[in-house]
Amino acid sequence: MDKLRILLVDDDEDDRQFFADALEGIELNTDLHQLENGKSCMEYLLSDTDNTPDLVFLDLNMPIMNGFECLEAIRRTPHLKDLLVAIYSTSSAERDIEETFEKGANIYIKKPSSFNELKKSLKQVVKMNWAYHLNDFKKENFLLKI
Amino acid sequence: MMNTIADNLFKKIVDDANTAVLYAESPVPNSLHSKEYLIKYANQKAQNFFSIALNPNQNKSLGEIVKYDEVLILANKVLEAGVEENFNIVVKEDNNLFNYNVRITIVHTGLLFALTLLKPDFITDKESKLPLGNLESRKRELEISSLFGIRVLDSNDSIICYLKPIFNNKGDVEDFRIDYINNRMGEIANEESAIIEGQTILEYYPNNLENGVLEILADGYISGENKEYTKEFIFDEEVIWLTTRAIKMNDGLILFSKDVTQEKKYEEQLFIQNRLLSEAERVANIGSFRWNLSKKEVKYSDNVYRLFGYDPNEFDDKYDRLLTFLHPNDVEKVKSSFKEGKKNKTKSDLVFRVYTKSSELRYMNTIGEYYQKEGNWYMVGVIRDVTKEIEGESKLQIKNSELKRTNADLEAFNRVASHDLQEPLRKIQMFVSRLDEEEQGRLSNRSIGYLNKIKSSSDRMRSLINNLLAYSKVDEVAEQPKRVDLNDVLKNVLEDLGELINDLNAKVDSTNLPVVNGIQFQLEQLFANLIGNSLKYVKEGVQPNIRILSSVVLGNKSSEGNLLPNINYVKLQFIDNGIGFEKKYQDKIFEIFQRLHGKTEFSGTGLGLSICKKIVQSHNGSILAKGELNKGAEFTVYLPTLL
Repeated sequence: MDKLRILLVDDDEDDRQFFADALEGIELNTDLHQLENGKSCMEYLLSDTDNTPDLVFLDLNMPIMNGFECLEAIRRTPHLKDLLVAIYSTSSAERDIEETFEKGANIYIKKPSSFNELKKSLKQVVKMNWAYHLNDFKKENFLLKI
Repeated sequence: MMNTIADNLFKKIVDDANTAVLYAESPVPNSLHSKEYLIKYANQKAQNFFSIALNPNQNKSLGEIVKYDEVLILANKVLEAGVEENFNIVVKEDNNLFNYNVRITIVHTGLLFALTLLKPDFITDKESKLPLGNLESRKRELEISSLFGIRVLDSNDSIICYLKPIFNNKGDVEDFRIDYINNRMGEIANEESAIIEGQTILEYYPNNLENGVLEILADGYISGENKEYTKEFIFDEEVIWLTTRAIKMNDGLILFSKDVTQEKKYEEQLFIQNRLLSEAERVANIGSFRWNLSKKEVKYSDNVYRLFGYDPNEFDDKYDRLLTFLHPNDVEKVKSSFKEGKKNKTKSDLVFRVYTKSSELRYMNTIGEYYQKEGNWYMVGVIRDVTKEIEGESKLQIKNSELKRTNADLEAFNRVASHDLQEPLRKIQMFVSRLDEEEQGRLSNRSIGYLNKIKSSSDRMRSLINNLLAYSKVDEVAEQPKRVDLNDVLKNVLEDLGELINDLNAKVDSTNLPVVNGIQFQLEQLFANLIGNSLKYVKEGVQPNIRILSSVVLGNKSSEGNLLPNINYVKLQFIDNGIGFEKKYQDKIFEIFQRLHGKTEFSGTGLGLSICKKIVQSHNGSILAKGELNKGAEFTVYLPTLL
C-alpha cells in the first residue's frame, strides 16, 4: 500500500510541529511535506505534477498568500481542481467556514487546543480519506465540519 | 311736504349719488312718442358712463350716445307697454366687466334712465365728489317734476333721508326728526317709508345715542361741516353696516347712507386671513414675498423681516437689498438661479446662506413660482429658515460616519477576538497538554498543581473570549426571526445542562411555555445563561430549585420594564432559591463585566447576564432582576407576543 502523501501549508512553526508530531503519533502510513504559505504551496504544486499530494491541510491566516487565495488558485488549476483540501485554521467564524466551502474546500478542521484532540481529528480525517482514496471517489465533494 | 323736499333734494342728490341718471325727452310737445329722444339731463356719473359732455346749446339724441343695444330695445319696450323696466347689463370697460342695474321709467314726455353699478365702484364714487362745473346752469333749466325727483331718489342705491333738528331748552340739538326717507331704507328694515317718516332718529333707532350718531349729526348741523361715518346697525337681528355722508342743507341735514355690509364682511375676512397667514408664517418660520420682475420691487410679508432678524418694514423692499444679506459665496448662485428662473419661468427652489441683523449665519430655502398679470411678470414665493434641518443633517452625517467607524472597530474587534486572541491561547493549551502527556509521572505534585492552574486559567480565558464574542455578535444576526416554541428551547437547554443538573441534584419546574417570534439559538443562549446562573449561585445545603413561570400581560398594565402600551407581552419568570443578591445590584447586575461575587467562590466571566440583556433587547423585550441576599433571585423576561 502506497503512503498517503500529505501537504501541510501553515506559517506557524509550532503548529507545524504539533501537526507532524500528532501525525507521527497516530502511526498511519503517511508522508508529510510542509510549506510556509500559499505562494510557496502554489510554486511547489505547479513546478511538477508529481508533487501533487493526496491531501492538503491549508491554514487560512498566512502572510504573502493566505489560505483563501491559495484555495482559489488550486481550484483554478486544471490538474488540481479535484485535489482534496482540508482547511486547518484557528478561526471558528461561521463566515470563514462558509467562504472556504464556497471556494471549494472539502473539509474544515478547527485547530484544537489539546494534543489528544488533534491526534483524534487527524486520525479521523486521514483514515476517512484513506478509504476515500482507495475507493476512487475523487470527484465527490466531501463536506465535513469538525 | 314730502314732494317739495324731494324737489329740493334732487339737485344735490343726483350728483352726489352713486347712480348714473339720464333724462331724455321727446321733442314733440305733449307727446311721448317720437322718432328720437333728446338728452335733457345727465349727471356726472351718466356723462362718464356714456362718455358725453353736455353742451347746453347742443341737443344730443339718445341713439347717438347709448351704445348698448339692449338698453335701446328695453327703452322701446317701456315706451310701448308704458311700464317701468328693470334689468341688469354687463358692460366691458378697459377689459374689465362691470354689472349694472338699469331702471327705465316714463316721466312726463321722456324716459328716465338710472344705472347703478351692482358691485360698488370706489373709483367712480370719488369722481362723483368732483366739482360740478358748468352743468349747474343746465340743471336749473331742467324742469323737474316731483315725480321725477322721487323716482330718482328711489332708483338710487343709497338710503337718502332728510333730517330736521330738534332743540332742547338750552338750544342744543337733542334729536332729529326724519322728514323724508326713500324706500331703500324700507327695503333694508322691512318697513314702509311712511311709517319711518315723522319719527325722530332716537325713536326709530334708540341706539343712535349710544353709537355716537346723534353727536356726529348734531356737530355736522351746528358746524355746517360735511360728516362721514361708518356704523353698525341691527335690523331684524341682522347686522348691517352703513357708510353715511351727512351734508347740511338749509335748516336740515341730507344723509346718504350706503350699505357696506358686504364690504365689511370681506374686510373682516381679509383681516382674519391676513392675521392667520401672518401667524402661520411666524409659527412655521416662513415668510412670503412677491417680486415684480419688471420694476425690481419686492413686497415682503412681515415674517420675512423677522427671519432676517429685523422688525417688519425695517429695510427697504428693493430686490438688491436682499443680495446684501447673502453669504458672499452664495451671491452668484442666487443671482444665476433668479436669472435662470426669470428667463425660463420655471419654478425655482434654492437653498442659500444669509447673515441676519445680528450677523448670525442662517440657511434659507426659497421656493418661487412665476406668473404674469397685466403685462408684468411676478414671482411669488415662500422663504423658510432651514438652518435646523441643514445642521441636523450634517450632525446626522457625522453620527453616521461615527457609527460606521464604530462598526468597523467592532468588526476588527471580532476578528481579533475570534482569531488573534485565540491563537496564542490555543498554543498555551496545546503545550500544556503535551507537557501533561509527555512528563506524566515525572512532575512533582507542586508542578502538577501549577500545570492545573495554567489549564484552568486558560480555560477561563477561552470562555471569556467566547462570551465577549457572543456579546458583540448579538446584534449582527443575519437570521430572520421565526416562530420559536419556548418549550423546545427549554428542553434543549436542559439537555445541555443535564450533567450539571444531575450533579447538583437540582429541580427545574416549568409551566407550559408559549411560542414567540425570535432567533432560536439566541433564546437558547438566554435560557442557558439564566438557568446556568441559578445553577452557579446555589446555596449550600439546600436542594437547588428553579421555577419557570409564564403569563401574558398588556404593556401598559405593567409598571416595570418600560414596555410599549398597546402590546401584549409574554412574561417569563425564572425563580431560584440560591444565594440571591443585594437589592441595590438589581440594575448593575446586567452591566458588562459586572461581577457580584469573587471569582474564587463562583466561576463566571461577568458577561452572561449582559448577553441576556442584549438578546432580550434585540427581541424588543425587557429583562429585570429581583433579589434578596440568601433568599434567591428572580429574573423576569418580557417578550412581545405573536400578533
